[in-house]
Amino acid sequence: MSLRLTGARRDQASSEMPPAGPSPVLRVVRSVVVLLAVVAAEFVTSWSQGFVRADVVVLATIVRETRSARLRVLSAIVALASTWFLNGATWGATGCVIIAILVAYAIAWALTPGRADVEALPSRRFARVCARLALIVSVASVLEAGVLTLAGSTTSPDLLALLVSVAVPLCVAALAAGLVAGRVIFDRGAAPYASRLAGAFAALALAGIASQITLQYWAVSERQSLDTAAATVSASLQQAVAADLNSFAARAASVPRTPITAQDAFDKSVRSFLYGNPTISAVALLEGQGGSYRVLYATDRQGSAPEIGNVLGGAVADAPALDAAAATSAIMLLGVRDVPGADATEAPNLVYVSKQAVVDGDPQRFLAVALSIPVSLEQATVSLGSLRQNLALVLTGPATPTNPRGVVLASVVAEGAAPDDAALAKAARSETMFGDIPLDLTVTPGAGFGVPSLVRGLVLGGLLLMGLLGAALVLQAANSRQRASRDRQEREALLEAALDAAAGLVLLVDDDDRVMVTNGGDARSRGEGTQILDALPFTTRGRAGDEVRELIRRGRAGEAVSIEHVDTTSDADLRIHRVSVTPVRARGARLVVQVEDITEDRARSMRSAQAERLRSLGTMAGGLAHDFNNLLFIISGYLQMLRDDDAVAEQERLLRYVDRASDAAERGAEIASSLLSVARSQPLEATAVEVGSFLTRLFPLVDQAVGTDRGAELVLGDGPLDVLVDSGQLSGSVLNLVINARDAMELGGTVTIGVERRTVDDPELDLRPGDYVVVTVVDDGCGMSADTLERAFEPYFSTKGAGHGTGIGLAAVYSFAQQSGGIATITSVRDLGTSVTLYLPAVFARHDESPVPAVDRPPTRRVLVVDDESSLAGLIAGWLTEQGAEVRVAETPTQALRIAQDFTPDVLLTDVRLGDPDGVDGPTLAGQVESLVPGVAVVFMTGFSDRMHDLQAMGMHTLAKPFTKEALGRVVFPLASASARDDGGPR
Amino acid sequence: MTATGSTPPTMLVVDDEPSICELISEVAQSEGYEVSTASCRDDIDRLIELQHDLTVLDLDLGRSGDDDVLRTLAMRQPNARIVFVSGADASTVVDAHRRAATYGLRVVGSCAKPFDLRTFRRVLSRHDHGLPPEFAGSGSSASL
Repeated sequence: MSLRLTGARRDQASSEMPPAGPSPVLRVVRSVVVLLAVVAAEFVTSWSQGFVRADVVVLATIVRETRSARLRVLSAIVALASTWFLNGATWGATGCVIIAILVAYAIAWALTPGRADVEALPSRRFARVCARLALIVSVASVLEAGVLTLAGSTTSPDLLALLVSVAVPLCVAALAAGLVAGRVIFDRGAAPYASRLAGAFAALALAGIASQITLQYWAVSERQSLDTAAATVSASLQQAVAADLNSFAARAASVPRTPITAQDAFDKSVRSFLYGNPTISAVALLEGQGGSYRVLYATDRQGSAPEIGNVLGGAVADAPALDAAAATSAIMLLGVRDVPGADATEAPNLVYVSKQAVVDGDPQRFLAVALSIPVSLEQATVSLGSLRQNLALVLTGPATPTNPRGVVLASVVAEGAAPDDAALAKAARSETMFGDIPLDLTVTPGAGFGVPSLVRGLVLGGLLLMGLLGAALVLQAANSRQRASRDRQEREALLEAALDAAAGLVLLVDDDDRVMVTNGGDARSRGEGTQILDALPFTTRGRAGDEVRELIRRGRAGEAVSIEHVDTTSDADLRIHRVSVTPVRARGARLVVQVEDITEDRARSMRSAQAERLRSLGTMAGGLAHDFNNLLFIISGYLQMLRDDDAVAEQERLLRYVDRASDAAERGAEIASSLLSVARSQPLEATAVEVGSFLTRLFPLVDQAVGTDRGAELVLGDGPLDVLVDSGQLSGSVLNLVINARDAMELGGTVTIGVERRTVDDPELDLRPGDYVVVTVVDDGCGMSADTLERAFEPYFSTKGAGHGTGIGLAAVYSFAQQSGGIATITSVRDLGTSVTLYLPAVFARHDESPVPAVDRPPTRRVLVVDDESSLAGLIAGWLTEQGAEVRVAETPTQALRIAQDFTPDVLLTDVRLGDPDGVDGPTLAGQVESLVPGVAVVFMTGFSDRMHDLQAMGMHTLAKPFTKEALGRVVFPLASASARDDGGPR
Repeated sequence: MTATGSTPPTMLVVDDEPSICELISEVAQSEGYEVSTASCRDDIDRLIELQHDLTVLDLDLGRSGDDDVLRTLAMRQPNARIVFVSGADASTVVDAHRRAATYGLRVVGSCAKPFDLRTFRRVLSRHDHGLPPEFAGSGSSASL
């Protein structure tokens, strides 16, 4: 019998059914062997009366080891047929075989490995253990049966019967639990329910098994008590009869002292004998020989009773026995006779006869004695003691044709112990031979026999209660285990979520420097269990990792340390990581390593520091300008006083000195003024400006500023592009950026101005989240170095050589963006270009209203603005553009003349002093332009030291710097209109 | 208020820089004004109680300084006329204009330091001729 029930999968483990298949002959032989094994197993099972379930073992093996459904079905049929052949086709035998088949299937199922998740279930493990137990018990039964057969014993001992009768239900119960659990698992996939059910079921099954063991124990002990009682009573009965017969023999052997010649004498002689033996109901004296006998005298316990003599051996039928007694001088049993007792009722008696010793010569005489069976039984039961109270003892004679069950000779029935059929089924029997007459003693248990009902009830009830309690406890335990596991899962999920939410990479490291737990999907997929150094997001090979190795070493030593690791090996941008190590001691974990990429933090704090520096520079510039202006005013004021003084006015030399000093003071004032443009303050002339159309109108100016060698492009995005800014400052900023771009593109290129509306919610920008109109000026020029880029927005920081640029431009742009509630950013890549971006808060403007008061709105006029300070030129251009003028700007007289030729301006707005190296000033330029564009109106912008009065005296229009947008409009537009009217239009 | 009356017009110059006070007062005197100057806190507190036809106020007295003066002026001399002078950026002047308007004071002009003395003279003469501010010059404007 092959018992290959290891954990391997059936299809792989089955050597009987390899994929190729054995030859047909071998298959048939093997099938025959298998079926013979089934028959043998059924024989063993049947022989052991079901206690040795060899059939279970064989069937389980077949079910598990063969894949042939036909062979399985055939085995089942053979098993059933064998049982029927051995035990007859009863329901009980059929049921037993069916149970054996089911148990075999259950065992095979439980021992076949399933899916990994199912294998991990407690109920599955439980079922597996039970299946093994059942197998072990069954195999043990089979072995036991073999040993007993070899030893020659043909009956199973009670212990084995007890063992098997307990073990089989145990296994069936456990398997049922496993099946139920498995069923639930497969049907619903809910493991907790299954394990709960299995546990509770097992607890109840165990209680049932315990009850059964108790009942079995009680049954066995009752059986033993009954057997003992029967044996005891039988022995006592025999002893009592034997004692009486001894006494009888002695009596017969002694010659009567006086010859018995009369009834009286006989009565007298046997009286003491009668009373000494209470079981003796009558004695008689017989005489005769050779088949002819007669009763001389007879006495019962009441006195002489001649009629009894006929009963005691008076019959002719007794003659042979009397002859034998005469011949052997032994006590002979005549038979069982009904002898009338004291109350005239007849009772069965054993009648014995023996030869009476007589004086020689006297005729042959016999003594007959009747032993009352009821009295003997009554006396014999005394030996049972209190047990007698709960038993019914019935003594029956041998069966006769008229009475096949035998005549009841005597009975001792305790109160309420009248035997019924159920009690008779449990009865113990004992046979006692009197002579050649067998008497059957039947001991039947009464109602009060064995364990009292109360005790039974208490014990069984207690067991049931324990079972229920156990089931409840198991349920509760399963519940709490489930709850605990759910709590644990929730806690783990929470911790995992917290870990995942933690900034950067968190790694829990064990003693061997391996990562136990980590956060984040990427890190997880990279693998827990890798070496810590391999799990870090930067290279740690060679010297690059020395720092980190040292850090981990210190962490192991119990220090909580952190470093900032700069990854210099990476090809991409420089990354900075903060690596913190915290020693811990929990579940084998040694260190918590936290890695955070702080590159962005660093960059942000640098940006923030830069913004702060620019702010403080702005504040400082404002304060400086103020003090400077005060001093300049004192200087220039007194210089003017000097100039106006008659004493000075008369001396031309002194006048020249004063003029030089005034010039210097004015230059100082210009510097102070530029300082003020970067000073941080509120926006001055904020109006709603639609940046798209504004820049479209300004674009020719941009195009002109960029020059012919380079291209300019304006890209307008969708959406309303309204902002609330100082239009002059906007145009000034854009022009400034364009001019910077132009200067960066010495070899040509394109400046692109992009405008779009964008929703900004970028924590890296120092901006309130919201909608912004974003103006970007991009060039593909030479770009900036990182150092330059960092300081680009600082005032007085310029890379242009001395005399080129003031270093105020970008600072003013930055200041403008900030004053407008936005921000300016700059990015640049060396040799690729620079991009400056202005974020201006978007507003919603009503476009049905004209941005310029209708009264002041003139028809489009052309204005040429000339100022060596490009940002101022841009500012003025912006204001004019906003008010509807078409504007060009020029920084030098040469440029101005070139533009004027093509542009034919209506108005020339020029600074008086143009800082031209050739000494061309405003009035000179005006003259040249007038010659090119006849009828052009000229407005001079003047500082305090210029001879405004002289110019005014010459009939020139002047505009004192600084001036407002309104003042500009009031001066320029009437002139532009007049000029246009005078000439009938310049075009 | 005219310069042609028998009594000369009076002017208070408030500036923490004594030199500036002196400069302005010289110009104003040449224009026929009777000038008092105040460059320290005590002088300001004392002189501001007196009636003046015109007050020239430096806006750089410090944040509370010029505001105190404006408030006191508004209380003592609600009809006072004011000329602002300032060395700070234009927004300071705009802000001062706004505050003066809030207090009901009349600002007749403002000059950004350093300014041309003739510009200042024009502001004064414009004031003298009772012209509305900012329309004094032909095609030119002393302004913010």
